[in-house]
Amino acid sequence: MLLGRGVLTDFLSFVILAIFIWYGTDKDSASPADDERDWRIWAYFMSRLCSPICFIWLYGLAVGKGVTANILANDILVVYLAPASYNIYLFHQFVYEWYWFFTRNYWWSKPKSFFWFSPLPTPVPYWEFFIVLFITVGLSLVLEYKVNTHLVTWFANLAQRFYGKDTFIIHGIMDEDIESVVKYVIADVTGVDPMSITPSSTLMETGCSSMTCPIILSKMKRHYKFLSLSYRDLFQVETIEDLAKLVKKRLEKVATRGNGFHLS
Amino acid sequence: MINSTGDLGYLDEKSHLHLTGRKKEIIKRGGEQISPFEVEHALALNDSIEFALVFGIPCPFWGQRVGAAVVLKDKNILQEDGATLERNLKSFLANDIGLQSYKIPEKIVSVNAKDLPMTRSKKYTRVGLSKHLNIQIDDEESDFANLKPVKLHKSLIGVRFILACWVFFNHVGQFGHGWEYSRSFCLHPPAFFFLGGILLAASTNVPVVDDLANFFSIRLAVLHPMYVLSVILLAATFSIRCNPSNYNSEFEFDRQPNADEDFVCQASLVEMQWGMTMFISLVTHLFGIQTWPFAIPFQWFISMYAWFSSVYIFCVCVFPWIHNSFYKDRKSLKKIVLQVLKWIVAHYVVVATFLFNWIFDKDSQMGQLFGICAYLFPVGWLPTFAIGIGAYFIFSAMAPNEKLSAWKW
Repeated sequence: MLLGRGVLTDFLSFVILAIFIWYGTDKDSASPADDERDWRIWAYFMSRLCSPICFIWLYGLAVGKGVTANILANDILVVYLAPASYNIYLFHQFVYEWYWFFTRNYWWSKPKSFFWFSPLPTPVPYWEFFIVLFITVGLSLVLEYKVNTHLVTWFANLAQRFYGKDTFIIHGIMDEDIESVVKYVIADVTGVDPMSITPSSTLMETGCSSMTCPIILSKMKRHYKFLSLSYRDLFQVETIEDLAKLVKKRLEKVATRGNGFHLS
Repeated sequence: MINSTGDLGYLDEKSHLHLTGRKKEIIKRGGEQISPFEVEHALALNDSIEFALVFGIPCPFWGQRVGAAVVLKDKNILQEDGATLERNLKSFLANDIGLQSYKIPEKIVSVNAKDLPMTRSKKYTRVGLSKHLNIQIDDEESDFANLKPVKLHKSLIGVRFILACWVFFNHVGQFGHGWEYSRSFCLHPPAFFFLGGILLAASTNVPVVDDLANFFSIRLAVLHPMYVLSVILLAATFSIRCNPSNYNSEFEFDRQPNADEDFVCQASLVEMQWGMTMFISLVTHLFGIQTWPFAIPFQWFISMYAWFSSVYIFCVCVFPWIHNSFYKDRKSLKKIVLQVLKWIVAHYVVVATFLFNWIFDKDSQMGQLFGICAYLFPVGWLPTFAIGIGAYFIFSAMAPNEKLSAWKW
């Protein structure tokens, strides 16, 4: 059944993988460059030239048909690993520099043949690649769940000092039921018309993304002071109704612990 | 099968004819043809419904949209809140029956059977039912139809992790001769910027140019904290291995590893003391301007791979205006596509610049410096980001995931 769908996206997945492997087979066939710098500029040129392939591929993924889309929509990726993506990119240099130092007792900073830009890839063997990746993903997840939530709130407060407006307070929803609060918080962040959000609207449909979710979380927590809700929770629920139920469940848990939470 | 009477139907394996409706009652929504019989059959599976009539509601954008009039078994429920009934039935069709989203009625009303019009042969008629029941799509809803929040598939979230691993692969590990060259196939940066455009547009459903401060405060509050933390950690690590005690205050175009310690700690293109170079490096990184040509000669790339953040911060800063220009054209698919085409032309102007430089000036140091700077130049990535925004608007207008032809994607 899967094979009959997502024809273009799966075909492009194959093309991208094929080019990737073809590049790896022979430098001479992949690049007519003379030296390393020349090779780098050639690579930049080729990636820009070929980028429409990835535009169409990503558009196809947004449609959501085929084997590739099904694999990439797996909960392990979407719920557990994707939240670490931005941090993997930001902190992998920090992790491999320290990993290299602890395991080799000197710093890895061999530059590319150019005065500026990135160092040569850290030459750890393939089995250590997975160790470094594991450490990076682990650190990224810890930073996302334990640090970023607080930092986002702190930064948002700072931004609001300059802005002069408390964007965390959404006036007129204090006495609303949980589902309405969820709707209004999301609408406030994403700009979607709250009247167009129904309980069966999906979170992605209403504009929840990696960019807006942290703010939505902060606003929800500001509204319900003892609410425990994480980025992962937002990707574990599908619809507004599901999210409202989850918030209610968490608040009831808080109430049973004696924090005297009042459920509207 | 369509016969001369205008009936629609099909022959089963035993050659029995099943009538599924009349040709003139078929609802044409955009490019899709929806059989009212199929939707009525699905609605009738709900325990509370005695029968349903599904009909087309005229719509200036889609041609027609799907409406349904339901007669309930328990007449008392007729008093129930219409919005609740509509919501429950939509949820039933989507979740319990699994009906495709474009077939789910957008307006559902509860009626008494006696209020429904009948033909002379005492059959209920669907033609003209929307007018009879006074159900219409008002202008506001019609306008909104073209920018209805769309259901982007969640694989777009999952793919972020794969792209992050691609970045990681490019910078870590030694896999043998061949795989080193796979690193030069760098499709992940354009993929990231395109994806950034789509997802940012998907999370912005109204023009934000009117409230820029709110837009920037929210977006930068999300983007910046982790970025700043990574810059601080990397600057601290950099200071351990490169400090005033081993600093070479002379600039060398081709950096050579220090013979004793195997790393380079040298001045920037504009030669300054260690402290000043570090200070300027921190300032440029914290403001995300380290990839701009005016900043490059005065700093180190402390967070070497955070050039992407610098470019993305610029893209987010100009997003409101690009988004607004697409938003203004949202009712015309032709205009949206035209805008995207303009950005594609801009994208290939950047590609041509690379090619020109590669052909005519690749052997000079300045030519190579230009080539590498041009790759990181934030404005050069703007077309990729803008094409992503445009792709969202095209997606919103065409809703390819709701079409029967979605499998082709």
